[in-house]
Parts: sequence; C-alpha cells; structure tokens
Amino acid sequence: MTRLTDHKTLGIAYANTSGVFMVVGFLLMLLFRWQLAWPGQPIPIATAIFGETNAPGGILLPEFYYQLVAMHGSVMIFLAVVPMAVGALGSYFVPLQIGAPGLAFPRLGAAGYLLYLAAGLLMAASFVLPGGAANSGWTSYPPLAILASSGQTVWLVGILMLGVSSMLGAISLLATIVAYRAPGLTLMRLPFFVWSQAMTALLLLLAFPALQAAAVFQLMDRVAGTSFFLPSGLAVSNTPLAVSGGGNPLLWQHLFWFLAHPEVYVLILPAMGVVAEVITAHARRTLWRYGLMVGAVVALGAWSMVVWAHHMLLTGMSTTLSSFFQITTMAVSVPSVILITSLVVTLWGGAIRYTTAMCFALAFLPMFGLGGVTGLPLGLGPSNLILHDTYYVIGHFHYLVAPGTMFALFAAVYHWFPKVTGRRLDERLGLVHFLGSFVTMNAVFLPMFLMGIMGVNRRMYDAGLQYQLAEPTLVWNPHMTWSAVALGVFQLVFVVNMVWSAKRGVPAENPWQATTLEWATSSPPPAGNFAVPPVVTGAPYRYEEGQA
Amino acid sequence: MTPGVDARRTRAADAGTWLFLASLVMFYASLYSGYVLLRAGSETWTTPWLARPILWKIQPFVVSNTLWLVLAFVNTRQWRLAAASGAPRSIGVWLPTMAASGVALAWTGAADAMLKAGSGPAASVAAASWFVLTGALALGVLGGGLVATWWAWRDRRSETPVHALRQLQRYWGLMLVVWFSIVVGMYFV
Repeated sequence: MTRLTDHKTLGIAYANTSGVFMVVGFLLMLLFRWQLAWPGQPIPIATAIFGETNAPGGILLPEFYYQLVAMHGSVMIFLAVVPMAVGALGSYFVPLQIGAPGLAFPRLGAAGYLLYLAAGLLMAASFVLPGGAANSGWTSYPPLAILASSGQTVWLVGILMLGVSSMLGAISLLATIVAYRAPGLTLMRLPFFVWSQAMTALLLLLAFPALQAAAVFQLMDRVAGTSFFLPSGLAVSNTPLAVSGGGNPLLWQHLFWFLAHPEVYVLILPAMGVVAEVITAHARRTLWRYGLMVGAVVALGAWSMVVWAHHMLLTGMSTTLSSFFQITTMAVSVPSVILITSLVVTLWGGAIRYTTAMCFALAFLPMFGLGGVTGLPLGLGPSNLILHDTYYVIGHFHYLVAPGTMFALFAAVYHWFPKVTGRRLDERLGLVHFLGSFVTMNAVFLPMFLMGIMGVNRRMYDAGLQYQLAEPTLVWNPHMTWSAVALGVFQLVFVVNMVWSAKRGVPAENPWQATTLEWATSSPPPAGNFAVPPVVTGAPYRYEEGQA
Repeated sequence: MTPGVDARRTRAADAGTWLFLASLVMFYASLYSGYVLLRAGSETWTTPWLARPILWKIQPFVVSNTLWLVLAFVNTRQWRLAAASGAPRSIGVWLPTMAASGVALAWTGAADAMLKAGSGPAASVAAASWFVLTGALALGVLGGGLVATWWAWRDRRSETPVHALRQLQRYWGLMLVVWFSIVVGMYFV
C-alpha cells in the first residue's frame, strides 16, 4: 500500500496486472476460437486442464463455451484494456505531464488498484465454482443472467467492486488535474493526452454508477428473490417461475448500456490521447487545431452519454425515441471525425520518423476509422434489423478496441518505455511485432464483417454448422483461428523485447526529443518527479519553434 | 507545509468531494430511475402506495428519518461555523453520528415491520423497490456517520479543518435530497 501511493509504482502495478488479465482474456479467446474453427473436435489436454465436467473427451461443452465467451469480454473490457488505458497510462503519465509531484489522493489511487485486483481475482476464480463462471455474455442480459449459475453472482459482486475502484481512481486523477498543475499550465496548455484522460475519468465517474445500480437490482433478483428484471408469467421449460414478477428486463438494458456505451469511449479517448502524443513527437509537428480537438474530445465524452439506446433499437421502443437515438448516434460521429481529421492533418508537412511507436499510431487511424464507419449502419434502425446480433457487430467493436485501442496502447509502450525504464525498446523486434500484429489482427477480424452481412449469428456454439446460410463461412473459421494463434506468437516477440530491453536496451533519456513535461525530468523519473518544480511558459507541442 | 501546498490540498479536496457527490448522484438517480420506469410501466401498480396499510405501519420511520437527517445537516453546519470561528466544539459534534445510527435503526425497524407484514423484497416489485432505495440510502447515511465519527474523534483536539466539515455538510445535503426524493416519489405520488 505504501509503495502503491507513488503514482509511478501504481501505474506499473496497473500495467502488470492488466497485462496478465489481457493474456488470460486472450487465452480464453483461443479456446473458444478452437471450437468455432473445428466444432466438436477435441482440444488436446483440455480434459486434463478443465476437467470432465467442462470438456469431456477434450470437447468443450456448450455451457463451458459460453463461460469462455462471457468472461473473455468481461476480462478484456473491465480487467484488461480499461485498467491499462486509464489505470496504467493515466496514473503514470498524467502527473508527469502536468508537472505534479504525484497524485492528489495517493491512498485513494492505491485503494482503487487493490479493489480492482480483488475484483479481478474474484471474477477469475469463479471458474472453479459449481456451474462455473458467468455465462450470459459480458452484457449479462436478464432473465437469462438471473437464472444462470452462481458465477453470475460473483460477476455482479466483481462489477460493484470495479465500479468503486473506477470511482476512486477517477476522483484521484481528476482532482490532480484540477489542483496540482504546474504554475503556468493553463487548461489550454494541457497536453492532449491529459484532456483525453480527464474526459475518460469523468465518463467512468458518471456512467459506472448506472451499472452499479443495475448490478444491485440483479443481485437482489438473484439472492433475495425480487423481480426487478423478471416479468410476470415467466416460465422456464414450461414451468412457471416462482417469483412475484412485475419487473422489466429492458430496465437492465437501459442501465447497462448507459455505462457500456460510454465505456467504448473510455476505451477510445485515452487511445486518441496517446496517438496525439506519438504523432506530434514523431512527426515533429504541433497538433493541428488543438482547441478544436479539445472541444471535440469534450463533446465526444458528453455526447456519448445520450446514445445508449441505439443498442436497443429492436426492443420495441417508440418511433420518437428510436429516431432520437438514431440522430444522436449519427451526430456522435462528428467529433470523432474531427479528432481523426486533426490527427491526419497534423502529419501534413511533418518530418515523419517511422519508429515502431509511430507505425502503431499511424495504423490506429485507419483501424479506428474502419471500426467507426462500420458502426454507422448499426446505429440506424433499418440496417440494424439485418445486422443486429451477427458477426458484423463483433467485427465492428473489435476494430475499435483491438486494432484500435490496442494499437494505441502498443504505441504508448514503445513511446514511453524509455521514460519508465531509461532504455529504448529494440526497433527491429518492434517492427516485427507491428507488422505481425497488423496482418494477423486484420486476418482475424476482417472476415467477421462478411460473415455478419451473410447473416451468421454471433452466439452460436457450433459457428452455424446447422444453418445453410453459414455454410460458406465455415471454411474461414480455421484461418481466423490460426491467425489468432499467430497474433499470440507475435505478442511473444513483444514480451521478449520488453524483458530484454529493460535490461540491455539502448540507454535513452528523451530519444524522441519530445517537448511535453514528462520528458523534462530524468528517465526514469525520481521520487517527487521533478528536482525543480517546473514552470510552464508555452504550449505543450513546440516542434516548429526550434525548441525541440 | 507551505501555504501553497495547503491551498492545493484544499482545492483538490473540494474538487474530489464534488466529483464524489456527482458520482453518488448518478448512483441514486439510476436506482430511482429504475423505480420510476418499473412503476410507470406497471398496470397493477397505479394505486398510491400511501394508501396501503403497511405504509401506515412504517410512518414513524419516515418521520424519524427526516428528523435525523435534518439534524445531521444542521449540526454539521453548526460544527463548521464553530470550527471557522475557532470556538470550542461541544458534544454536538457527535450528533451526526447519532443521526446516522438513528437512521440505520429506524430503517431496521421499518424493514422488520415490512417483513412481518409479509411485504418482504420478494413479495412485489413495489416492496423490492422500497427495500433497495431506502436500504441504499441507509448505507449512504451510515457511511456519512462513520466519517463524522472519525472526524468527531479527531476533533477532540479541534483538528478537523473547516473545508472538510463543509464537504461533510454537502454530503448530508445530498442525503437529504435523496431522502426527500424517495419520500415524494414513493409515498405521495
């Protein structure tokens, strides 16, 4: 606890823990991708690892398959990507970028991390419960989730703990930005990364309580016999449920998506911030229309809270309500386009250095663009009718989060590794990592758009073996699975690079000649961050003034 | 500690409190909107709940809860004013603690009455809403009570800073607003 009160230790703790959860989430994906590629074929040694109850004869049972899918989503979103993007990068770099000696509430930050760790361990341990882990998807829709095994209860408790953890971390980060900025560092002189982190923290702070409230309702339904989400007359296998009824399953969807849609922006905004930092430093250019970008990131965060029901267009909502959410959904793309356009225009006339960090940042732009553009048909009722619940949806949000946010996170690691360790990552290994990841990620996710357009449902245990419409797509699944395996192999290159470079990499203080404040101190930064408290006299990006 | 550092900490604590309160508002508003949505969509839940006999049995809870919360708010304000003027604190600083205990006790009593009358959480969505909304409030009040107790203990040597008491007062203000919303929405509408 004492050491965790240092924001740098806290950031590294978040990075390590979320990294481990990322590996867990990835392995879960490999398991169910095997089932999709070769439905009903035994996985070697699966019985030895998962037992006869989950994988008799090495074949994954449907119940276990759905646990893997639900926990893959939950682990990747709640335990891996968000803590990496906000907990790790935010805790480590925001105080440095604003010239602060640390976080405003270091003990709150540490408590937030410990709660996150406990929630993660609890959710992961639910696999050993009778009935296994949660298996109702990461969305946990009732009534299915209420009737699910005890793993769902653990999932809900975990979500409640993660909500408190997010709140503590967000308060600590935002109060630091408000009160601990260096003299002269006005709001419009903040690095764009800080703005993106501030908006992310605000979203977590204001949107997560809705999911916590929903979790309380669902916990009550599961353990106290209430019927918040159970309608009257509900029967399971022709047997009426012994509950009072009178509830509404759509209430869960409203509360869930009130968090879960802004959660997409929680994943994207820090990525935008990272890409802005990397592009400016590696193209030697000032951020194009900084003020406009700040406005766009604020608008994007605020607007993201009024679009949630586009996930529910097919639930029978009124035309008026449906029209409202379709319009807000189309409108939310405006600030996104502003951000992407500004980042692209920043490159114009720049002295671009194609470092690994820059390659990942540049790759983020079209990948995020593809993820964003493919979201538009999902936000419109008529096309949503066709594409809803198909692999198209999976392709869409994975392009935002996997080659989107993940590429930005990789860019952040390559860019800031010298700041954390005082040494550079090896660029040759980095290039192998980048090219391998770029090709394999696209090989995994691109076919999903076609599968979705052909009507293949996203939730089928056998990949659609029983349906004629899915037949042409079945041959793609083995290729996608092998691509996922190859993706994992390329991440091993990344891990080897980090381990090797941390000890033997080329020593570097500020290899990119970046001008933001975190580079104004030694690498790694000392306790208290700055030997002399910095005073800010100008904008964060000064690459065209001969000051770099 | 330099005055600059002190001012920074006060500013951070102020910002942190507002953010915490905003998050709490969203939590209680989400619970409340769940109640509103369920009630508005129900065909059998049109009778004002006040007309139900069980409600009369828990009237003391409503009255005492309101009084305790007003007391906690007013007393914290007095405590803050005393701290600001450097006046010696009295036994009154313990009143928020007592108020929180009072709310918790009153809630336990009301919940007990509900259970004995066969209106437990599983009986109906109306009863379940009552348990969740008032239970969440009681937990919030208990949390405020714990903080007040800690600060009252520290305050034996007049150590609790004025800005901290201002934040506690805001917290009790929020609890009051939540409580009045529950009373109006659940008992009178």
